[in-house]
Amino acid sequence: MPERMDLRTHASVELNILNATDAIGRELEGMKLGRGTPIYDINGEELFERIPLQDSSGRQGYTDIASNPAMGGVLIAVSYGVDWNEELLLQQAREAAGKRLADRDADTVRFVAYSFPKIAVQFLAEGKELALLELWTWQPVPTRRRKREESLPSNFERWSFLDEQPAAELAKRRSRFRSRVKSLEPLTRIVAPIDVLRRDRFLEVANFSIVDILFDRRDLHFSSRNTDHATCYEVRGQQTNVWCVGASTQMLLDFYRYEYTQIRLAQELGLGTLSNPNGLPYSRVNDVVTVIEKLTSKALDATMNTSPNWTQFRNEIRANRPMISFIPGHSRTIAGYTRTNIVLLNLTPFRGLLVYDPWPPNAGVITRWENFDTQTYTHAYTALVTLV
Amino acid sequence: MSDPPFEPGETAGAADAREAARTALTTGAAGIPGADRARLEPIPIVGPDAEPAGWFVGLVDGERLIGFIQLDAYLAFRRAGSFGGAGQAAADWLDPRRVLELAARAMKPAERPGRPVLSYDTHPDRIGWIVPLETSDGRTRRLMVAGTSVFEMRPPTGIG
Repeated sequence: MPERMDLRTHASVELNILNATDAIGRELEGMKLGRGTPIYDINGEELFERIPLQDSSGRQGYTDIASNPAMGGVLIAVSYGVDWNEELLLQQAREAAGKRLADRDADTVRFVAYSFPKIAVQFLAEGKELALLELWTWQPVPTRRRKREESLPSNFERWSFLDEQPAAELAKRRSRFRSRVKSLEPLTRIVAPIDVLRRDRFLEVANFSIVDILFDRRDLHFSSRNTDHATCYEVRGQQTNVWCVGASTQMLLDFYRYEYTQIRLAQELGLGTLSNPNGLPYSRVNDVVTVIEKLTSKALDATMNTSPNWTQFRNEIRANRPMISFIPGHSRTIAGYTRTNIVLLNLTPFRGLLVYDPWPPNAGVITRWENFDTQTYTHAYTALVTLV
Repeated sequence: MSDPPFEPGETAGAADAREAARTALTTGAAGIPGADRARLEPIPIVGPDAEPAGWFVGLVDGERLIGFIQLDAYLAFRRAGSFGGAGQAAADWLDPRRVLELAARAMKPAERPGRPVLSYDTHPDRIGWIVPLETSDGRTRRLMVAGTSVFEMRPPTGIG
């Protein structure tokens, strides 16, 4: 379960992102987060917190933020135009409960998602339910049926969100929740809880632009820390018209501060000399691995992949490692990637690679971006620093 | 082989290519500093079998080529690039007359050049001008001019 403060920070970040991107219009601008109310499952476990929202002009709303990973995400819902006043609702619930409570005092009163997302107020004494009244209608929620005729619950029936879902489904939901929390981490670390939702303030404090929101993007930096300087990489033009593999290997080794000349690399890779050069035959593509490891005394652990895909390129860049990439007849290196996060008009999201291409000879080209979906990738080489 | 004819005016389809390149620049597909101020100069790319192979749209700032947008034959965005080192002179990539001057460095006295065509070597990303050469006794060979690099085109020997 997330800590209370984490939960509040999650709420702030999620709502600020929605507000900053205009994803739900400007309805949230200026809203302030109030004190949250925990909402429980029928089985007693906490599911989420309902946090009231209000601005200085009196506009009201609320948001539901998961405290239980089984909810499958962090932000569950945002509603505006409806007030959430915990104290007033409890007072109304007590009045509605009236005789049901008889002379017994409830030692616990809590909000329960009796049929998620429908909510009721539950009165308990020593763990035993005295009353469960649906919010706003104040109708008593029927007791739990032992056996349900239909596979799905009816419209006014209590059921447990946590106990009545397959274990595999809950596991998937927990996994999705953790992924989301992880992806929010960079923002939760640098953005102190901002209780008022303000687009400009959030973009300023978070130190990113709309481009960062619209794109999943990374270039090679000095280290895997994104705050380190970028782009920590240089293009090397191939010194002959057939030395693209030598130049690509040089770029990768230069990143790790091995300054071999292309002439030396050509010698190691069997690419001839400046006056009589040749390309790398397809029968010797594994020589790239051998040479990288040899020239770094195996400080770099190189691997060849014959079916490189988007995920591999992305993962390597996120780990701050350049790659050598072969396309038919040519070799280049990869130093970054971009992908659109927002899909418009059902178009496939654009996926691009930042390519450091040794062509044309003696100059090279930095390609920003190469359309990943139009290229044929035949081989890719990764190189990992060997740690002790 | 006759002297290369250079007609004034643009090749058919150049306006569409320029528009497609402009779209790529505005949608963020290309991230080239200064591209928003650049003049867009499209040149058709011709494949090894003389088939249309797309467009090279130069991004020109004064005399310098600060980058390019490469489109496929259907005007779809292929890539956007900027050059390493000190950058490139726009004429080296966009002016066929300048390409012939560069090719002349590698020509033998008896050779005469044909019309340069923007093409590629092995793969469409290995872009450059092909200059056909012919001698009076009918021998031919082809040079590739890629920026200031000039070399004879030979059958591919693997990855290069």
